[in-house]
Amino acid sequence: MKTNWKRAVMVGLAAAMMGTVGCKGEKNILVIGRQAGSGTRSAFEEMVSKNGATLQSAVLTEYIEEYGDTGAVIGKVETNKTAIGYISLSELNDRVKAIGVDGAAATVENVQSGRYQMKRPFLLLTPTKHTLTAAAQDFFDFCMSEQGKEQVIKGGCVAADREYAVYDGATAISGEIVVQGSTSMRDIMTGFIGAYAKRQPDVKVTATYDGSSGGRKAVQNDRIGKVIGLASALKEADGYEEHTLCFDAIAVIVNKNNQIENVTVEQLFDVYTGEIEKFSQMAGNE
Amino acid sequence: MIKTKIKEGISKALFAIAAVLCIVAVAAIFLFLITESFPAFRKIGFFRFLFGETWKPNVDDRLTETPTGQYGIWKMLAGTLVSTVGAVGIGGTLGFFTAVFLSRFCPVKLKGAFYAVINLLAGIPSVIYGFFGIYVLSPMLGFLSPNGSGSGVLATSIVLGIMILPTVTSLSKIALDTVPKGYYEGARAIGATHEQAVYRAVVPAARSGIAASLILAVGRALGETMAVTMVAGNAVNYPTSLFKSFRTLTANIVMEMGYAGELQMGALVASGVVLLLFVLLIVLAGQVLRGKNGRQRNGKKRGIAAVERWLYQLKIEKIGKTVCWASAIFTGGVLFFLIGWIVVNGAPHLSWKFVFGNYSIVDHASYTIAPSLAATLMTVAVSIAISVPLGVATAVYLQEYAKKNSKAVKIIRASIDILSGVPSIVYALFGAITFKMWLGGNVSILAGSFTVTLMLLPIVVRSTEESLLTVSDALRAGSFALGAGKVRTIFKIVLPSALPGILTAVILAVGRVVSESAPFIYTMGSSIQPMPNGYRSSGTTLAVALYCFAGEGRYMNEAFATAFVLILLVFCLNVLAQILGKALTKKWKGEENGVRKKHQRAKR
Repeated sequence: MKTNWKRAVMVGLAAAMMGTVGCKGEKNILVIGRQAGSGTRSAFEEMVSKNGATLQSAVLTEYIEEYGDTGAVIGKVETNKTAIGYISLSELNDRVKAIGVDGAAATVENVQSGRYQMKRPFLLLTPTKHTLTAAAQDFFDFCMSEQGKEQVIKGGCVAADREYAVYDGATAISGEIVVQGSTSMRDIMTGFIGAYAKRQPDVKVTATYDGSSGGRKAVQNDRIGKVIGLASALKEADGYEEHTLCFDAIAVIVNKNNQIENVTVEQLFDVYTGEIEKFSQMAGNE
Repeated sequence: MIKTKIKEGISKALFAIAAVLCIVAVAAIFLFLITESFPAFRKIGFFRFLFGETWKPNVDDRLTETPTGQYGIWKMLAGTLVSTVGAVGIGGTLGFFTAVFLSRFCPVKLKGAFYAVINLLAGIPSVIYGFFGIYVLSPMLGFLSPNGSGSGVLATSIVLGIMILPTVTSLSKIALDTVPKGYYEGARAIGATHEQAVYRAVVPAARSGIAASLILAVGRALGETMAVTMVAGNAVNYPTSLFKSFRTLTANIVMEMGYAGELQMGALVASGVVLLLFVLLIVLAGQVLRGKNGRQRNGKKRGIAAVERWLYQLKIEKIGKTVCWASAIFTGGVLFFLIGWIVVNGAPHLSWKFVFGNYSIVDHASYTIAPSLAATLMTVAVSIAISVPLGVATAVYLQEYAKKNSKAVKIIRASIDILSGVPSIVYALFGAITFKMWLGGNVSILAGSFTVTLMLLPIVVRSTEESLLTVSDALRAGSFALGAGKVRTIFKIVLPSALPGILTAVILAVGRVVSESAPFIYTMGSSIQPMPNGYRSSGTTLAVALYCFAGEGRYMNEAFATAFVLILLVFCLNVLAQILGKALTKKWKGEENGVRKKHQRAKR
């Protein structure tokens, strides 16, 4: 009986070792995406195409892991050498590396000049059925103003090409506002809210980031006009009006130790449909 | 005379109303689930929903139009089942051997300390397990995985296994402890060794209790949400290999609820219904097993004979002692590692400012958890203020007024069993749709508090009932004999005697509020909020704050510090509950001893 146990342990150990050895060498690409319903995901899937078919229409996406917010995607890419993911350019930080797409680096200048193609609008949603409360209207005006533009630039986004009014904020306003929607807009909105609080300290702004569809729904459900929605993809529907706050690019991110510097849109398509499984298959395109 | 009669009548009616409210709560949840999911079931088609392999919801799908997305939950159902089996395989085995260790092999000096360890493990919030999963377990397993990511079936099974371990251990231990002494002594008398007696006589005698503990564990593993979401990887795949990323039904609900379109929401509620059906099946199985327990001792052995024969042939007693010690050391090790990891990483970042400092959205660079502490306290206040009076009244009705085994009592008991079995994510769905909407459609602390109140009811009712049971009938009889009415007896004699037990119930309930996270995310708010200014504003409890910090990955120091505060809170609540529990048993035992002494004196 005793020998049996020993044998079992030996076999187990051998199997474990073989498993470890078998998994050495270059690991597969860890394809990370956002969950269905995310504005970033739908924007990314619309932009990435091959032979006229976008990821969205191909319905072929082979995500390996999906996460509910940008932070989780960054965290996962930071800790995995062979991970690839996508986030809003304004959320990019030095924990991960953004790679160029079709030869253009993901920078604000390249987005402005049109060289970096993967861009999308950041939208503020206002209700159409009723007017905003005084406080909400004031916050909205602030965001769309010249001062708002400063925040846009500070936040790493691309300002929209339009007329900017100057926000004077002469009259003190008080009240409560809810800002709700896209998680991609968290960083830039935090900047807006902070700057606004310095001008109107009596206005209490509550921010909830539960995705673009959450923002759309919040505006549709709102009955008093204190909700301003945030959305990061255009989508017409009843109950709200879309205002372009600024533009954002989608950055493709990889681990900092990854050697790759550039991909083509076609390669991205292949990675996200499972055609390309290892980074070495993409070599020679830089 | 008439006055007292009216008083008695009114009080009885009030107690009964409380009990009926429990039934109403269950009925409301069921009604909600059915009305919300039925249109989706009809639109998608029952079989296509259950056995469909593609989950590609379209946010624009409405209940009135033909769906353009695909709503098949089969892969996620498979994921839920596989991870549950894995968890019960890991947690059940470890838990069983730890229970045997605690009951039969543990040195007496270690016993108390070890039991406290198990209780503490049971009280640790699931977000902390998830946090541990992401940052310790996943990177460790990543070395073995083909794509370098440790998330997936194996990681989820291990995390869930550790989470259900305390449930299995404490219940199996009770089952083993209550096996009559004669089983062990008889075995020893015919020449069996200690190990043989334990594994051949005691364990088989306790097997229905052990099975019941496993069933409860299955329920917990099925319904667990947050920890799973953090380590499963969450792509909708068949769980075909150990490192395959997959998604469970609960994770699907929590991930997509905030984004869901009309039909999608219906489909999510429908998957909640599927989950609930599983849980109900499990509750039912548990009841059948409990019923069997009484008959089995003197009846024929039946049931899982094949498994038993297999276990018998394993000759487990040969290595039983080693395995026992190993799993006990592992269990203790996990706890110490977990707590050590959090204390070492969390304590340096803990400061007065972080815990109590004001956080304003203006200088968002430095978060503080003062708003989360406030939100947690506010939630605790409301949910305790509602659930404790209701729960205690229900327990009083069940124990003091209702006829034992009457139909009404059975229905109320069943309602409470169901309430306690409902996965927290189903409460989250319920709360987000009903309470949130009633309160104006925005997330608010009040909506979250109401949601968690429902979850607390069964805890309060059950432990109050237990403590009412320990109040001896002699006290009631004495009170009646002195001419006190029923109401007077209840308020002046029964409830004060049961007070330590009720307080323990309150502490358990507080612990639950502190450690829950799933029901709050869509009712109270899912990102770090500034100081709440009233019950209508949004808030994040500490556990949710930890989820936010950990998920962001950017605020690791804050995450560790928050986890440290959470563990500290749980630890304090645990110690308090233990002290009160001891006070209760002391009181009870003291009375018993007193009575016995009097008897002895009278005999002399």
